[in-house]
Amino acid sequence: MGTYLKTGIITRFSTSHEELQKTKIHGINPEETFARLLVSNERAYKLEKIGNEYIWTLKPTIIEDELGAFIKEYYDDIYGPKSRYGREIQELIHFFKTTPTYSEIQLYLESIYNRVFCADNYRQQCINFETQKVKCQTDVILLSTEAQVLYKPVYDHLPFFEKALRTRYLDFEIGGSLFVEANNRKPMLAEKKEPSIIF
Amino acid sequence: MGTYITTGIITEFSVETKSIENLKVKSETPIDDFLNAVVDNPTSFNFSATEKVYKWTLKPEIMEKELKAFLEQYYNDMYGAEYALDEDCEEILSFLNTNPTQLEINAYSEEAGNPVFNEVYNYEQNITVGSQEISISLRTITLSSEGKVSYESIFGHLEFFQKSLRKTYKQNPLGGGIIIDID
Repeated sequence: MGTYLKTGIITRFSTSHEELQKTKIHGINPEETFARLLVSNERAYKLEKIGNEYIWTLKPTIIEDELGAFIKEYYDDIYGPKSRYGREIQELIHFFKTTPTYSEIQLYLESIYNRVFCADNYRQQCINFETQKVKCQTDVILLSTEAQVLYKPVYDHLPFFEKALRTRYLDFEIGGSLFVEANNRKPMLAEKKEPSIIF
Repeated sequence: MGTYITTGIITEFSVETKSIENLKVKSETPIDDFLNAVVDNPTSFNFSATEKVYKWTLKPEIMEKELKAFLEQYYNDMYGAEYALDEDCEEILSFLNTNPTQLEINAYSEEAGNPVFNEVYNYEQNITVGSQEISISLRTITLSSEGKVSYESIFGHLEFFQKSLRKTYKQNPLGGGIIIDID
C-alpha cells in the first residue's frame, strides 16, 4: 500500500555481508545475484567492500556521459512538450549543456529545488529473494512522482512496468538502473534557490 | 479514479465519422492522426467504413500467427518464468497450440472466463488527438488485472508505461496495441 507512485534511477545500493549471504545460490557469486535483484545493468556499477558493507555505486563516467541525453529523452516521453514542469526541465537541460562533472551533478541534486530531478538517499529497503527478505540501502534520483495512488501489489504490475522501462531505454547504460515504486515516502526536495548560484 | 488496473491488447476500435471530420489538426489526413493516437501498430488492423462509423479490426492472420509468441513473452515478463505453471496461462497457451482460427480465439476470449485472456467488449474511452478529445469505442482482450488500486491521473504515468510497453513489444505486430486502463 502506498501514496506516491515514483520513477527514478538507482545511483547507489549497499548491503551487509550477512544479508548478502541470503542470496547465495550454488555456482553463482552472491554479489551478482544480489545486484540483479535491484538493477539489470550491474556492470555499470563499481563495487567496493568497506568493512562489513558491500557498496555498489553507479560509475561517475556513465553519469557524466549519459545522464543529460537520457533525461531529455525520458522527460520527452513522460511529460511531453506541455509539462507543468517546463521551467524545471529547461533549467536542467541547460545545466547538462554545460557538461557538468559528477561532483557538480551531485551538488545540483543536493542544492537545487527541482521536482523532476531530486535525490532521495539512505533509503532502507527489504527485497524479496526466494522465501527471504534481504535488507539493503539505496540512493536514487527521482525523475517523476505522482500522489493520490493507493497500491497493494497482487500480480506485480509495477515490476512489469519497470522491466518495460528498462527495455525501452536499453540504448542507455543508465536505463538498467531505472525503477518504479509506490510507497508513502515523501520526496525530499532541496530548498528553492536560483540555479545560477550553482552553475 | 478507479478500482482495477488492467493491461491488454486492442482488437477493435471505432469512431463516429463526424468526430474525424470535426478534428482540427494541421495534417491533411486527420484520420491518420487519429489512428496514431490510438495504436502504434495501425498496419495490423483492417479498416472498414459506413456512413456513420469508421472501424478498425485486428487482422485475423496476425491473431492466428502471432498471438502465441506474443503471449509467451508477455506472460513471462508479467508473471515471471513460472507463468508456464500457472493454470490460466497454461490453458490459453494449450488452446493456441491447436492452431485455432480467429473466430475460435474470439469465442474463447468471450466464453472461457480466463482472467489472463478475457474479452472486454465495446467500452467507451476518450482519447486526445492534437488538442481535442474524442470518444471512441474499444474492444480489448485483458491480459492482466489487479485490484485495490485507486488512482487519480495527474502526470500521466500510465500513459508513459503504456508507451514503454508498446516499444518493448514493437517487434510483434500485436505490441503496438497494448493498452493500460484503470476502471
